[in-house]
Amino acid sequence: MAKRNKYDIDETLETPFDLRHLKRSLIYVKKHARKMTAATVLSLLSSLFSLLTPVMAQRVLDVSVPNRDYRELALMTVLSTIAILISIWFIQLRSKIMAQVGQDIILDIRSDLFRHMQKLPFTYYDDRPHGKILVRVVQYVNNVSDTLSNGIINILLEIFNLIFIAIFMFICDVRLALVVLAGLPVLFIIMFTIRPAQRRAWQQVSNKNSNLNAYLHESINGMRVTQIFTREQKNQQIYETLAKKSRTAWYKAAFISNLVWFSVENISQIVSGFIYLTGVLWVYPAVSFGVLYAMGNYTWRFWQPINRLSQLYNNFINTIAYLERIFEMMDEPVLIDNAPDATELPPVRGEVTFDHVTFGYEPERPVLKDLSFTVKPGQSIALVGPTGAGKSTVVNLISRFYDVNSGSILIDGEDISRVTLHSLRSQMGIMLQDSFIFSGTIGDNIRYGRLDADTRSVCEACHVVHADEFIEEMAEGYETEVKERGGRLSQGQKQLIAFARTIISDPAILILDEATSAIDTKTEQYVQEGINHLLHGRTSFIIAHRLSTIKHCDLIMYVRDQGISECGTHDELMAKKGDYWKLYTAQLQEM
Amino acid sequence: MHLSWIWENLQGYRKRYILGFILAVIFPLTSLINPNFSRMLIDRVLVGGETELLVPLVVTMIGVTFVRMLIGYAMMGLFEVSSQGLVYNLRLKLYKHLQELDMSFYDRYRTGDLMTTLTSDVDMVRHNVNYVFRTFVSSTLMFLAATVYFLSINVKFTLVLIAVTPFILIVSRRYLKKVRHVYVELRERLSLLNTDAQENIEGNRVVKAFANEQYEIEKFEKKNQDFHDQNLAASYMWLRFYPWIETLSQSMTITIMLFGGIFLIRGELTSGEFLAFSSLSWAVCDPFRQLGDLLNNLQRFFASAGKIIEIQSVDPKISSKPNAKTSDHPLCGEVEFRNVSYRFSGQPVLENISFHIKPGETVAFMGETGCGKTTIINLLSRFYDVSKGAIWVDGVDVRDWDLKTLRSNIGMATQDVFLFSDTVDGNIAYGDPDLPDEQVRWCAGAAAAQFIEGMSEGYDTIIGERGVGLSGGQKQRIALARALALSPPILILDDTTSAVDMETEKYIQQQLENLPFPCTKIIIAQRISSVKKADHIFVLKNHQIVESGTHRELIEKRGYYYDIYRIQSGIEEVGQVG
Repeated sequence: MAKRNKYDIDETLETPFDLRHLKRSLIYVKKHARKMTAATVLSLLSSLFSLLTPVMAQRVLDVSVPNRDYRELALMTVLSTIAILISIWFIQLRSKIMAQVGQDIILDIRSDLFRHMQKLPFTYYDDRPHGKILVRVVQYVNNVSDTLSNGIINILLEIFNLIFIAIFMFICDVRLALVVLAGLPVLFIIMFTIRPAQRRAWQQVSNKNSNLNAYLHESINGMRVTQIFTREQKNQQIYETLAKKSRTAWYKAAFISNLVWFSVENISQIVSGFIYLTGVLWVYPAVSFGVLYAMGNYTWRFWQPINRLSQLYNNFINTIAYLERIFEMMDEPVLIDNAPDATELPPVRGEVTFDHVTFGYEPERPVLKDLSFTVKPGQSIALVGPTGAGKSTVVNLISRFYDVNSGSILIDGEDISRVTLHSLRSQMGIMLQDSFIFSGTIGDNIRYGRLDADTRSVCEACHVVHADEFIEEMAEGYETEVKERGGRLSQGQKQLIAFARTIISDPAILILDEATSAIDTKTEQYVQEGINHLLHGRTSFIIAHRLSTIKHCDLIMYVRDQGISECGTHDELMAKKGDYWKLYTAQLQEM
Repeated sequence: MHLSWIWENLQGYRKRYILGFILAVIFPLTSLINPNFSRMLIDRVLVGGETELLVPLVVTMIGVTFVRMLIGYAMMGLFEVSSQGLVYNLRLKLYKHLQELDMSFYDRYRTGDLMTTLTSDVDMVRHNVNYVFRTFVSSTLMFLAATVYFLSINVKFTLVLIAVTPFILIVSRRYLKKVRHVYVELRERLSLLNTDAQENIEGNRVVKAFANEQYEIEKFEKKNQDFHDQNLAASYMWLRFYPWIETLSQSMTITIMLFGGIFLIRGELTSGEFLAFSSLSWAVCDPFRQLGDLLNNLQRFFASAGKIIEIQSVDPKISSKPNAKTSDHPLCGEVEFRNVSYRFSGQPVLENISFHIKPGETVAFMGETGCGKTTIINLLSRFYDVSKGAIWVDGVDVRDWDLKTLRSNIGMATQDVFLFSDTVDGNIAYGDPDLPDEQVRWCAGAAAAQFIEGMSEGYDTIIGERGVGLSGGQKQRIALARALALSPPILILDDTTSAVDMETEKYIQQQLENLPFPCTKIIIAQRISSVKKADHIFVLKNHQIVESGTHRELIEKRGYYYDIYRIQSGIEEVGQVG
């Protein structure tokens, strides 16, 4: 497992510069090849039409005016107007097409990225600040749009331009044309020399920005804690340092990138100087002044597109820094995925078997070792034991949030690693310790457990866990809007909503991990009553610290030292006078 | 309004920004130098045959370009520096402001909104300050300079030429008006996209637990599509106006041809004058051709700056009074509620709550879910202000205390444990980053967080955001250690040990009884075992205190507390499972 990342650690990326990322992004571009070709043709046509105006202006000057021919003047004006209108129309068309292409490309990239994200394991989310994930999905993808759409076309157009002018130059004079071209290797050498620095600089920009945003994101989410601990000043300092680093990184990247433009302009001037020098001192009088004059003009025209190309090149280098990150995330291995020959898990009866299961979040530190047990359908199982002993791990393994290191887990005799994740998890109701609430209405949050649930089922589920009372007391009842993490709801209320969300999914196997820890005893009692009949016929796993809530379970397992030290009913375990007995009597004494 | 806002935020970079503008004016002018030399080169060297001038001229031209590029490079640098400086200032200000805002603000704004503002919106402002304003100014100047030059040549022709500008301006205005809401909406959709992605990331466990990946994908696709569509709508809106603006600005070329021709024929214009016009026509034409890009950027700027200003103008409801009382010494920890009522959106949360806690006492609150227990401590530490009555700490109304003084005297371990993606050490020392190592270890020990030493890198282990790598009980214990690290005169434990096993809880209680600093403790809990040793226990029901007393007194009262006691001790077997 890679080391966890935090806001002030750059995410390293040790891939040498190559155009692979660009090539790979062509997958997204290729789909639009026809549109892009059309857009290129339209652009060419448009410039062709816009070239007509100077020609006609020439004619007006040379012919119409000396002849005082108003008719021809009018004709030329009309023709020019038409040419301009056509060229504008072509550009409008091209822009329409390319706007679509550019937006479609980022739509696709973002969609693929998000789809992949849904498959990534918990560990991916646990190992880095969430802000760093967020900027990739939103900002980074936005950043690549223009380069991948208009950028590509403009490069093509500029290259056409370049070739076009080069041909004219060579027709004009081969030797002088070669002089003009001689500037190119110099430019390339400069570009290649600064490229590593330039690329690193843009990577730094993306890194530092990512750090800054990660810190910001965490700050916003943890604002309450910050205010409780009056740590505002310290945080301000940290943010300031990160903002400074981000600023410095940008300066550096901008200063290096601008060097390209600086070089292009200077080289083009030097080249045009050389044209005159060689023209006059070396080639002359073999070439006429006219040719020299034309070549001077061509040199300027030849270096204009190069200048623009160098800007586009800068954009590409910048874009690659973002593409790298996007593709890195897309390449993030999906640790838990459907096996190639995965089958649908048939409707579950509820037999759960652990067969010599060994597991550790880090393989060298096993949390569970060689664990074996079988649970019959419909049994309710309580997992008790000290915090951190691995109770949650057991239930995490059943829902295949993690894969076992060795051994296997079977449900109704089917190895859970051989069935599809969706068929497995959708038959389980898992109530997590973290009762995350999405922004939306309370009703929506409960429906999250079963998306097609009607209002009646929502009310019923709430009734079961005794959540209906406080919800109905609210001004807008089930339509009350809540924000992420539930803003104004108390922790206990959030837990009740999360509970209702689990209940409504009507699971064959129910997993309650400290489902009622924040709920008061009276309410908990109602909840217990409510779920009693619900538990009937369903296998359930319950983790709780208040033993009074689990003593009636069919089977109580005491989890300790990487395994189960005791297993039996409450009475059996009490008779045994072991770990459970100790725990239970200690709790009683506390009363 | 926006200009003064920019000016204000450019503090420290104003001179460089202005210098940048000066260079931005000079730079285009320098492009007029070399054409003179090249004309000289053609006239005198190529035509006139003065070859001895060739080398000096070429060298001069290269030199001029070099200097010119230096100016250009400096200009771009200045704009980069000052626009980044503005962003830097803006970020710090916004961050500071966010830290001052109270919970009612965070109830209204989603994390995704705020992220959008501090990333995309700020960057949009930067882009405008760096590039758009500069182009705007230099285009306008170029247009004006060319117009003045033209006027000096031929007034009538110039007037004919620029007759079209009012129309361009009218169309532009209409466009600006029309496109405004499009960009406001685009910004909003970006914010929604951010929010959706952010919640998906935060709630990734819940998504997986319910196998709702497909639903999430569909939900996100919709936001993604909405954003896509709005982007296109913005482009299309521009493309609807584009032919008009473009035609109008290109009409200047036509004007030159048609009227130039007419004027030439009628002798109202010499061919030299005509040449001057046609060779510089780009200077009046190009500014308008760039208009679209500039207008779009400006409108996006307004949408973004509007959002930033909106957030900036939210006043924190909770802040220190101007002459608030401060204290460098720890407070004694006396707390008094006098007839406190609190209402939220019209509904009562607490009503007429009064109690008095002496320094060093331990009090506990119990009551049903949602009865307002947490509100009591939120009011005490002033996350909200009371609707009626008053809260006194050490004999001073909490609203008269300096906020920092008040809060730094309260150590709180909250229900909803938020840990930072930092090392364990950094998390425990959150309230006091300079806390020595042994102190951190002591706090961890008192909070029964010895498990830290068993972690792969001990106290240097980085824990994930929200502490997701830890079990609920482990998170709670780190949160407790974090609160203890402040050595607070008032310690609040809001259901801090709910996920901790009983044995550990007992150990923690012993530690809390023997803290090496004077400490008033306020405990909120569901378990009798957590509260029974308190000097005073309050039971809340229907927004009021209904029972109060010691454990023994309350047992004798045979009320709510007694019921709970019976259930928890298993005396009463209600709710047999299975």
